[in-house]
Amino acid sequence: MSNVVSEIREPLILGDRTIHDITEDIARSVEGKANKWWWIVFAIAVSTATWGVCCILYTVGAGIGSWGVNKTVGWAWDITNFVWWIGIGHAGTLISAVLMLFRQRWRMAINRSAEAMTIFAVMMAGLFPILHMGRPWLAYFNLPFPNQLGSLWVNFNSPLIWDVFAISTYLTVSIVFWYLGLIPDFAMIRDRARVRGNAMYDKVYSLLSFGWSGRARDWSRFEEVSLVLAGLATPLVFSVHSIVSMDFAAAIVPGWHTTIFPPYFVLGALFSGFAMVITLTVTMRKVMSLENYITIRHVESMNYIIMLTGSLVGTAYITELFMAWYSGVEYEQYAFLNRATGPYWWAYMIMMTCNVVTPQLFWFKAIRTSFTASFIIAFFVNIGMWFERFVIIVTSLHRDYLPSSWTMFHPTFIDIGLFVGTIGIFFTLFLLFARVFPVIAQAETKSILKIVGSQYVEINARAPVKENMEEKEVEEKAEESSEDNAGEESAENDKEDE
Amino acid sequence: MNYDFTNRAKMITYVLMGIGLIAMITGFVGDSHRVWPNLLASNFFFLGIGLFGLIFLSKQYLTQAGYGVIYKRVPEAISQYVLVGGPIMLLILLAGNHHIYHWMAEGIMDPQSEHFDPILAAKEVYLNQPFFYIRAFIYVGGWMWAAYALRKLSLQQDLNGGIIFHNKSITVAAAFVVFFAVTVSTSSWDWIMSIDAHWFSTLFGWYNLAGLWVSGAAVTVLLVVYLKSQGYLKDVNENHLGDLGKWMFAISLIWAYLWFSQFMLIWYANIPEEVTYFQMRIEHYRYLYFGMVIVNFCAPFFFLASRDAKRNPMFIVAVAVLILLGHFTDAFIMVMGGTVGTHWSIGFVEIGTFLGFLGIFLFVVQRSLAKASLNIENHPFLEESIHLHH
Repeated sequence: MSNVVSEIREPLILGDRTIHDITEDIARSVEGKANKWWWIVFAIAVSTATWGVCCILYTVGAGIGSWGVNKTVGWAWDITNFVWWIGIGHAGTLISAVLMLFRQRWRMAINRSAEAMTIFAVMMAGLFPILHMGRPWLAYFNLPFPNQLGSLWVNFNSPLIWDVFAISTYLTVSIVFWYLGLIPDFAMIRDRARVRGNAMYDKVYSLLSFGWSGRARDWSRFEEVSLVLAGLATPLVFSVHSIVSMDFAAAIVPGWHTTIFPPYFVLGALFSGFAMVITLTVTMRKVMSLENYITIRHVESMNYIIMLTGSLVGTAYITELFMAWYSGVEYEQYAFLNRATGPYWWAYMIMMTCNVVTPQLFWFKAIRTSFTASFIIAFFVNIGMWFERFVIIVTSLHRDYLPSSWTMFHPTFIDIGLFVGTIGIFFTLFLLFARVFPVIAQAETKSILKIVGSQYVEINARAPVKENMEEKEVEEKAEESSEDNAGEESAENDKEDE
Repeated sequence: MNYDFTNRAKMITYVLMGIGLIAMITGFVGDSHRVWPNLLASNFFFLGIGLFGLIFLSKQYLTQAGYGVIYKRVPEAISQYVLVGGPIMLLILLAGNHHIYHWMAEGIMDPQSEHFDPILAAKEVYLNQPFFYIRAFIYVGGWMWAAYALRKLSLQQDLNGGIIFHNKSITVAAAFVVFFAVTVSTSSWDWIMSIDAHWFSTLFGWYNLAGLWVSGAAVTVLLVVYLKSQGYLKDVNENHLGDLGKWMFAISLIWAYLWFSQFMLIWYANIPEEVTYFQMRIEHYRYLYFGMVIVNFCAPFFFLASRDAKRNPMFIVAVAVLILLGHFTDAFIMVMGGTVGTHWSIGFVEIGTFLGFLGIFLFVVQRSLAKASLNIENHPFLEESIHLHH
């Protein structure tokens, strides 16, 4: 990576941090005590998680008759939640794999938490199909193992079994990738614990860091393996959600069978995933005082991706709608008419507003460079993407080929508990992660410090822009002041949160 | 330093255009049904490559990418084909009319006629000639504006310097990307998908986007390597070639992914009105069709996966030539399957038409390269691009 940096690039590490400062800033969250806010959020998360666990146990005991699903709407909230969580995971993989291959420096501050998000989200997702089996203790029947159970063998023609392979591969690669990046950071905590004389930390983090020595040979291996894993994980960004989309698209249900589904699901997944990364990092930035590392540039870059993927998802909605009409297939035409004007019109409207309209607000620089606005829009996007899956699944099923079977879906207390519960479990896991693991990949962040650290960018800038310098300076000043505003806004936001 | 468009090079392009003209005349004298689809397929292919130039430039501006600045005259020159290929496209559509598009034939939408087709009549709101041509004019007009504006701003930046032209380019790029995101789908529905007027696929537009993207990336590779071998673009080194190789590799895989998504879902569901499209092509274009898929996927996948291969001019040139042929074949089958259908052949008319358009394309690109200095100046990311090393 070149050290020459154009002068129109803005710093990604603020506050003139030195390498040692980075160590201190990031180790603090692991070595220090949790503050009041952490405990409050943790308590809320754990109590929600408890509700979720109770509902899971009830479902396992009583069966899925405790859900609102019926003979016509055989998939509803469960699969909606499944697709929603899987989708959220995607941003982590994109940040860690694709942005690594693209050498994007802004990934460094957010990759660790995005990868953690991926892993926890995939875990939450996996829960739903397993519960939907009714007898989750037989979940291993999904694996094609040699058996003496008669003709019991998985159906390789079914996209559902492709899912089993796709998602387990995805989870495995994500965990390995995440852990690999953590090794040098664990070693840092270990070394510090040794100096401080904290034997317990020393022992635990020695074990976790696999005897990392920090020698050139270690780093060389580390970089090679990272690159190989990035190469392996990149196709997974596409394959996992494509195969999830085939759960629907390979069927001949109107509204499900359409060829755009694989790329459109992938884009939708990145869209919702980045929204969740914004939710998590903007919160973390304040709660853990990471203002120097998670800057408005990071948020702006993510907002660009949200804007792009949101618009493409919007294009796909319109394409589907247009093709349903253009195809001349009356079942398709009715499926889309029913989506937009049938009894679930409100879900369709929420989906359209949150996913297509709200991201367009990012065209305004003031909005995409505001922490508060980004946080709010990200929240809307996550709502919208949940409704998108609900719309696809439920509106296509509830009025299918046989009008005598048409019916509505009503969630039960257990349905709601499962969904909200997984959010609780997810946040519980994430909060624990934030206390035990370094939340910013400090080794990687240090590698870009001398390129894009605030005290280095000007030294590195050697771009030959000759004229109009005054104009440029004016612009910079304007941007600085808008940044200040953004800082104030987010401070206000925190007050509101309080 | 300007590119020297030598008389010899000019002569080659004239000869190619001459062959094209003769092929066209031969075609009209013989079987005129073959000519129109051939013109459409060739110009669609090269127009797509021209559009890639715009995509590449816009992408660089919008993502603040620093790596490709030193060879950005190349995508710029490619994009200038839009100014020529766009009007040619309009001519082909206007003159080709019902020779290409079955739904434009007399009486198709008329219930009284013996040719009446109720399925097509139901699409009349979209598939009617006035609206079709209005749309075509809008697409081509928008693209031509972007090609003109991006090039002009880029040259002004070289002359005058300053960030202002860079920022203006960003605005143009953003406008183009929004416009193109819609028109790339609708234009491929209009011009290509509506040839098989009964058939439909939601993915069709994005599939074509991937196809033109990868073809354009291949042409960029060929031109950059050629210019470098002629002593231009001195700062381009293996790191820059590696980046271009990566694009060719990545978009080839995305193309293959989209091809598979479209094909597999239709094959798997096996609904008659959808599957007929592939059934026809598999039955009558079998070796050409699957050969195209294999070349377009396997050549980049096996030959460009390694880092060293992507940085080796010989390798990337070989793969670029292969996938260019592959993607032209794709365009050819898309058009021929619905027009001449089972009566297709590859003879002088087909090859000659392709060479003719190749001649026009090379002429436009070389003339544009010769017009402005290949050494970029005053670009804010210039130094990053020169000092690129991975």
